[in-house]
Amino acid sequence: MQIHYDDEVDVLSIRKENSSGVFESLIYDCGVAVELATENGNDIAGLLIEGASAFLPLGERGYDAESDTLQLGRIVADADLVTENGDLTAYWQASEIAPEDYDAIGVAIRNASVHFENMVILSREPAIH
Amino acid sequence: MSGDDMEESRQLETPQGSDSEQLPETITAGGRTRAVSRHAVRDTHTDITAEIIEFVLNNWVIRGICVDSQNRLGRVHWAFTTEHNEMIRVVVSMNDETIVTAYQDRTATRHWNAGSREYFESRCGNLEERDANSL
Repeated sequence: MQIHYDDEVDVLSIRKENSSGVFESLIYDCGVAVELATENGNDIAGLLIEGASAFLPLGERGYDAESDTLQLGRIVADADLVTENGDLTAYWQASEIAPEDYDAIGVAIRNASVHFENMVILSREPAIH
Repeated sequence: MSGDDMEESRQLETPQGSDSEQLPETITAGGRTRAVSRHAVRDTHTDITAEIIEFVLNNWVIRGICVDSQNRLGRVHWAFTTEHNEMIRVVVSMNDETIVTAYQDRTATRHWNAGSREYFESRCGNLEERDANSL
């Protein structure tokens, strides 16, 4: 994963190298927007977090140290679609406004401590640039 | 906006991508030159070019004002491009000096195509909408 934080605009980007530039909205809350980078349709290739400073550290958002998995959004057994892309699993539900399509509802990132290198964004304030 | 009008908005000719790997540090649209954020220069996918951003800023079909987690205001612009067949979202700082982010927004595309404004209303205030045919 490539991880960049821009403190001037408070945007955190966590993405696989060469992933596509198409994004799906996952979370929007009080000015924090978590967008999922997709590739090949519904495969997830990373995150873009606008208003990131209010959302970090990610570890407080759903990190399970025992399984080393970061979960964001809703991870549900009855998701209409589950897609796996390496260590990233995405959970989708049929879109109410476009039933042939899906809305992202959750994402799980296994081996989070590996993907997030020194765990800075998992455990502390953003200090990476 | 009717369904036919929405279809028309897809037909606007949009500039094709260039060979540039990164966005430039400034982009001029509508006679105004804005800085491009460090994030946008470094992380914006190569299929979003300066020309595409210019197109969105000049030809937006819906835009509104958002507030980020630090209570900073920004203006979000969305436009359809024929090149991507997706809505492109471009956020500009409220002082109109910096392009903050730019990317293909599939959630916006889904809502726009369905005629729903829920997604846009949930993220922005002071929404403005205009007919692509009048651009």
